[in-house]
Amino acid sequence: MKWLQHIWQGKGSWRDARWVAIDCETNGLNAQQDALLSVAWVPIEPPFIPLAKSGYALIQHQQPLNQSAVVHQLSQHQLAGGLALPEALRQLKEATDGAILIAHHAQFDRTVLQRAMQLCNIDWQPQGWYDTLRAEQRVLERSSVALKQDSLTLARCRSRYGLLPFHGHHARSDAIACAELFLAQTYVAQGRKPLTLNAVLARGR
Amino acid sequence: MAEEREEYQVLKNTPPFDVLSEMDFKFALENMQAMYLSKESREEIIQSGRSLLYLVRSGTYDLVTQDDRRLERLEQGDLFGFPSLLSGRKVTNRIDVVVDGIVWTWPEQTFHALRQRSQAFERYFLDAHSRRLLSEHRPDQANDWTVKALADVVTREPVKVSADTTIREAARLMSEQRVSSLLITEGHALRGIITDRDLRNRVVAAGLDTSVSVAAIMTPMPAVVYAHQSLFDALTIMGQSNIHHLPVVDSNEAPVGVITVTDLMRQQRSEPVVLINALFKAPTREALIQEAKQIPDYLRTFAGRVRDIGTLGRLLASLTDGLTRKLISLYEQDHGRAPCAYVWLAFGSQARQDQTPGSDQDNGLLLADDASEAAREWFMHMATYVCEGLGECGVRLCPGDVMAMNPKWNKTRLEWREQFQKWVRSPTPEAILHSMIFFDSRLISGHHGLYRQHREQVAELAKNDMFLGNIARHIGTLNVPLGLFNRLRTTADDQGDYIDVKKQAIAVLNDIVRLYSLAHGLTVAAIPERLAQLKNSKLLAARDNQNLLEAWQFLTHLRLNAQLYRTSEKLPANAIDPERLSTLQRRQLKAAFRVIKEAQQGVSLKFGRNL
Repeated sequence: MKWLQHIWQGKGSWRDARWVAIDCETNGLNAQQDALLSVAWVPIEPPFIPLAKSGYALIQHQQPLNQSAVVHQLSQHQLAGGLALPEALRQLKEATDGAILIAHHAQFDRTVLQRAMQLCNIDWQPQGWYDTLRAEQRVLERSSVALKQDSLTLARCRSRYGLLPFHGHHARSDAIACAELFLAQTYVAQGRKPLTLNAVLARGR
Repeated sequence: MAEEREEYQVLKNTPPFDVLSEMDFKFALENMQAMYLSKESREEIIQSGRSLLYLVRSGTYDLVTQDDRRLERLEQGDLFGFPSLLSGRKVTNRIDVVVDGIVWTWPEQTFHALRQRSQAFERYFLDAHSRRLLSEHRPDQANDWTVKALADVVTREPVKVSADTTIREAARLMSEQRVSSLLITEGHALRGIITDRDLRNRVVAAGLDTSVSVAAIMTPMPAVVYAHQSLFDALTIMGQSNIHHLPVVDSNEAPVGVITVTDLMRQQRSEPVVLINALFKAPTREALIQEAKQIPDYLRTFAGRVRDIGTLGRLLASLTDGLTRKLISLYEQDHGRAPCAYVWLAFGSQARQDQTPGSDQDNGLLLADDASEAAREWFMHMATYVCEGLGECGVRLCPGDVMAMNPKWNKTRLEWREQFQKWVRSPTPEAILHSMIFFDSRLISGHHGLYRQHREQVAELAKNDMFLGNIARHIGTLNVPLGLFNRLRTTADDQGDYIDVKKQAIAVLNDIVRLYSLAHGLTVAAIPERLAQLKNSKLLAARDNQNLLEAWQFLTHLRLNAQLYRTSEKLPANAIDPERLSTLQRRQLKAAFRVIKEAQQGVSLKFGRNL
């Protein structure tokens, strides 16, 4: 894999990398157990977010919904009309293979998606992960602001950058919201000189 | 699916994207990119040499000229980038980022494709570019019956006879032609009119010989309406004169037709006709007050039907006119005819015919110079009866006491002349502030000749450089709520943030138009009429004239809407909360304020230098 390392030294500008913000909605908050209900992805071409290239897949589901339906507002009826899980994942793979994935609280999405991919026997290799929540946490810790329990929600993080409130809990709008937050975090951090890819990745690790 | 997206809904409500067909709209959406706009990302765009159209979602940006002049502050809902896209020239103005944020962008090709696909879309940007934002999106007037020109409605040639025709011949002609009225002409000129009712009342009931000439029973010199005027004008005149047949004449005063109440009813089951008639037929003061109670409800339904809500100001004024005349005639029924020539004057908004439901009464009396003490006494009583009656009919008494029942505003022609002279000769800020409404006047009832004499006198007096200069100075002190960088500036009190669109904008505009009118010795009062007569003014450029008219139309419209659909009783009657306006209205409001502000600077330059 030497050739890959060569290209992928991470010393170039972060703007030249492929970035995709993602978000998934699940049947609960347990990433190991709960089922994937929907997933959305939005590519980022700094400083742009080409919204038309975003994707969204609702996953076909037969099991009864639990309480989380209140949050994500997907109905049993809608879910019955969704895509089969392998097909949805295939689309996600196509859109994200070789890209660095961005999510708010990325660990959760990563676990859910990797488990689902394994289940369907799909080989999925994102180039890396960036967590907007971790990045924000680092900024706040450095500025020695006392962290409250909810100060790291996507909405709170966004409001710190003056981004508009959004309709949360639809995977697509959450993914766009996350993409905007990523751009805000990175542009605010970079100042005059463009950051290297490695520097950006280190912030969101 | 697309419809569910948040950006779909937002863009759908953003002019000019709202005018695109569904297909073109989807095309716009497909080619839209969100962008994080900061100092750094702005540099990236500049370096890439790309031209984009921008729509601000969040953040704050300043539009700055090459020589560092700040033109405008751009915030949520504002569009920028299009001037260079339209002109194809290099970008000369730059964007300063005040607060980073998200903007939506479209590449040059998309912008041009949309311009080609939709004329309305292109029109919007051309208008915005040439700062003609105010004329756009005004309701389509084609279907509004009230603004239809009479020339389009009157199709039939008038049936005419000469004054020496006998009554019998005239009646035979009327029945042959199946008309209910007949015009009496001499050459091209209109001399009089006879109607079915005249034949009944003045001939049959009176037992008159039908071989007498029609001159004996005609109404000589009847009220007329011009062909270029609207149906609404015809309606107002009929209401004011309590007649059902109105001759329509061309600009040379030659009759071209007759319009009747039935014609109006045919255009629309016209409630104004019904209401005005009811007011006129009221036999007593009590009955009149009872009928007048329906006015507010009626206005609301009327406003819902007409496209141009500005008509409402004129309708209200004509209702107040009608009530006033009716009250005067009721008083005369009980107390005999007026002892000398007089004029009932309307001032302020009634005179300008831009009354709103919240307007209070401003009126006065002009008496012939030979008025005796006893006559003055008679008029004081009459005025008290009329003003109080108007108050009970829902036209509030004037808190500033500018009413005919105040002896101060109940004067002979010479006394008025003295009063105006005083204002003109010592134009203190105080005097200017209080006298302005008296320079907007209209005859409501009484002696036309006396009024004309008075009005021309006032116009002559007012053409005084020092007086005009002081009005200009007064106008210069008024605050248009447009702050630094063209931002709307609201007033904050315990009712929230708002703009008083009357005090802070319409009144200033009225002052400006009045100043030009005084400088030209105009005697009309309504803003559209004043501006029409100022068309060839050397002082006011045609373009500024048009801008003022459009700003006035937009603001009066906005204000009437705010009054009719007021959300809180606590808010001042003319309060507008910019947050509650649509994106387009907010842009238009800014454009209107800019027009006023520029006009304000204009009058200081033109009239202020003689001081």
